[in-house]
Amino acid sequence: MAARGIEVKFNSFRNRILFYFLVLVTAVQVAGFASFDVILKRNTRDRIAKDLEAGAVVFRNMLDDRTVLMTSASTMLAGDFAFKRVFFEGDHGTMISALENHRRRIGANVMLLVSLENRVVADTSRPRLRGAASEFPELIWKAGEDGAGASSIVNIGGQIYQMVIVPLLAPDLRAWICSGFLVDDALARRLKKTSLSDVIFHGSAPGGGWRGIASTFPREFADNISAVLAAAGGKPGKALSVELRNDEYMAIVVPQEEVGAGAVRVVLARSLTAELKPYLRLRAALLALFVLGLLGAVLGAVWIARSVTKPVSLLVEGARRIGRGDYEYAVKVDRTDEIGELAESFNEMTRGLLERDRIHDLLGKVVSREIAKELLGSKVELGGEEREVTILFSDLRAFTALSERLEAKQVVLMLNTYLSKMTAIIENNGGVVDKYIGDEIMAIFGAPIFHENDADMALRTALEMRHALGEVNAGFRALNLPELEMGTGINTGVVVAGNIGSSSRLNYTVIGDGVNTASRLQSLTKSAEYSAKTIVSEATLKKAREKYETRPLGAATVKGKTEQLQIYALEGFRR
Amino acid sequence: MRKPTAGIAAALSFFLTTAALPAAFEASVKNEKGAPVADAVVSLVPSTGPAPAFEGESFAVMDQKGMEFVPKVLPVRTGTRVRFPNSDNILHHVYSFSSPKPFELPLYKGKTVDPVLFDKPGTVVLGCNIHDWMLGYILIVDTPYFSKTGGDGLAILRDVPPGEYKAYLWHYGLKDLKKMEAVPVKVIEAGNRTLELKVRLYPKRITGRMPQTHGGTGY
Repeated sequence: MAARGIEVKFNSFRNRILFYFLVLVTAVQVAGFASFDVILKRNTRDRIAKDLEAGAVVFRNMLDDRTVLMTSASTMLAGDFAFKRVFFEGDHGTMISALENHRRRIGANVMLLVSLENRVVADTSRPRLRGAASEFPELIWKAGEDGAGASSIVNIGGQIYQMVIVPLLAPDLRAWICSGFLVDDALARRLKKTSLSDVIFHGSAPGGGWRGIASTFPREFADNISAVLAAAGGKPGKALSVELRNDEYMAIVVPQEEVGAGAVRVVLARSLTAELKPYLRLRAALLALFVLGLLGAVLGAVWIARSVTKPVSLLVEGARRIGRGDYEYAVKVDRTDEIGELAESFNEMTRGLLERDRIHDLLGKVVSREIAKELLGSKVELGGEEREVTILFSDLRAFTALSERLEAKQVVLMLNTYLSKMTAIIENNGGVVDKYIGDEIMAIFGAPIFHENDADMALRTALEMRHALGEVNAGFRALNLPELEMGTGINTGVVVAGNIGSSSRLNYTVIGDGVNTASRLQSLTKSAEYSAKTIVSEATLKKAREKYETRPLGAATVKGKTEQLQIYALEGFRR
Repeated sequence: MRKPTAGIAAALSFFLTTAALPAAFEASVKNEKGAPVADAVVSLVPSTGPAPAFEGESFAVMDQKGMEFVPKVLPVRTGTRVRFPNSDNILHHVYSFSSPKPFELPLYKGKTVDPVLFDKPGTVVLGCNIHDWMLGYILIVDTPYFSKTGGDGLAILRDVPPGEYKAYLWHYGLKDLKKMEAVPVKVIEAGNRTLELKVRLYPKRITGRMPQTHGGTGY
């Protein structure tokens, strides 16, 4: 399998299943996990942006409300009749202490009394400062425009204040009461509690731009966020994603009505990481699920692979055994699915083979091996063909009389011993035992399979049989059994060979004059006139290629035949 | 701070009248846009010497109606005693920190308080300690010749003997109530003259009128 140039080879089906299963499961899980991460981040970003945009408006209102509250508090104090008296009394020390008293009442950080001409009359933070111009003439001028007062951010000796100015009316405008509220980190922290965001106060920097003046962050960070916001080109009221201190923040500039020299703006920021923290546990759970899923997939894949490959291995083992001829082996697969069906078919096939093998075996016993082969190898049908064959008949002398004297058991033993030996010789020499007729043997050479030396083989068989008979008799003698005498006739001629009988029961055999002649020649061995134990026809000797010791017996008339034929007694091989 | 440009802008023309002695003097006060200015006080001080000495007792009234000072501006001659009746059915607490006459009339109602003597020239700003918006002015001048403009911006000074005078204009909208520029004028017999005066006024945080809106400021 080629996957992007990586060649993955499997020597086992199980590993292949395992591999693809794992690749698939991992891909799905990783994709799921990754998209979860992306969606979570995007949603969180969107949510924070919305929160911040809504929060900025609320924050603006909060700041405005705060100003209104501070203004109201200052106005209340300005209406204090006793204070008005003190003002007209003109005692500086008393005025400072009255201002200090007022400052504490409204929780301001500093309180000043400034004349309509912008001269400091009294200052709680700098009691000795008297008659000097205030640090915020523009604000005093702005307050005087409509006499209603004003509020703005001012810088007094490096401290940033929100300065709220209200008129001192006694009963007409006499001076300005200025209440300063520190804009510092503590304020930022207090505001963070209500806004749930990090708060940064930016003051306009001398060279343009903004610098941090108070913040819930470290100072340089507050300066940085200004630069990052400027680079991002954010507009007030629109939340932006900014990268700071290796963390992602959403930041927003709180919109305000006027931005000018000495102006202050507020930036709200929220850390994406902090917002995502509650989701980290969920993410860990997902990761655990991912691992568990992978583990489950591995086990599942192994199980599935095993359930497929185990029966396959059993089938392979079965096929090997059958190859070795062990038809008794049955594959044990206890399943009802396709694999079960395959195993069942396999077992059926094995049973079929076993049956066929048994038939094969039996056939070989009932008929000769060659005939069995012929029968199994071709279509079995009635009919035959003309073939030139050599036929051998062999019979025992006076066996019937002999058998009457012996026990049946002994008869069977002797006959079986004799027939087994002779049959083996015949078959060893390529002959086919056509049939046993009692103690008589009929053998064919040249059918169903033709050999060039069929006649020689027949003659050799006769000689070997004769020799073997001696050995058989030696055995019988040892058992105190009578000896056997055997007569053999051999003839060669054209016969009809084939399956003869009925369609339901048939024999492969040969019929014709040649057969009869061979049988007749065997009968002639009983004649004292010839004194020959093996008689062969001239036709057979003519076909033979080897030389044999023979003794001419002259012409003989064969039953049913008018013409005579020359016959010979076979004595042995000619050396 | 802008450069103050308060005071009388210009003195223009004089008219002769054929009336008998003493003469009547008329001043027309307009703002920068040419609109007539009400509640302006025009006074004439003889250039040659002090005004005739004040004899006897003189009384004036500064009432409180509908939680407002009525009139809003009350010019009086030095030595005048001003009564401060309270025509409302609630208490008022009149006070002033002004240098000519700091005083205080703690919570009272009706005509129960004694008149207050104003024996030094200058402006006395009146307030009510319990009603921030209440604002009244008493202008004390060292001359019997003064008058307050009406809605038409005209102030008429009667029985002014012919002679050289300095004309002063006062209005609570002046940048500095203490600084009044003088314009020399000449009053002649049987002549009615109209002095045209232009004045730059500054808006006041407190109008002296009761706010028309009820409820809070929205917060």
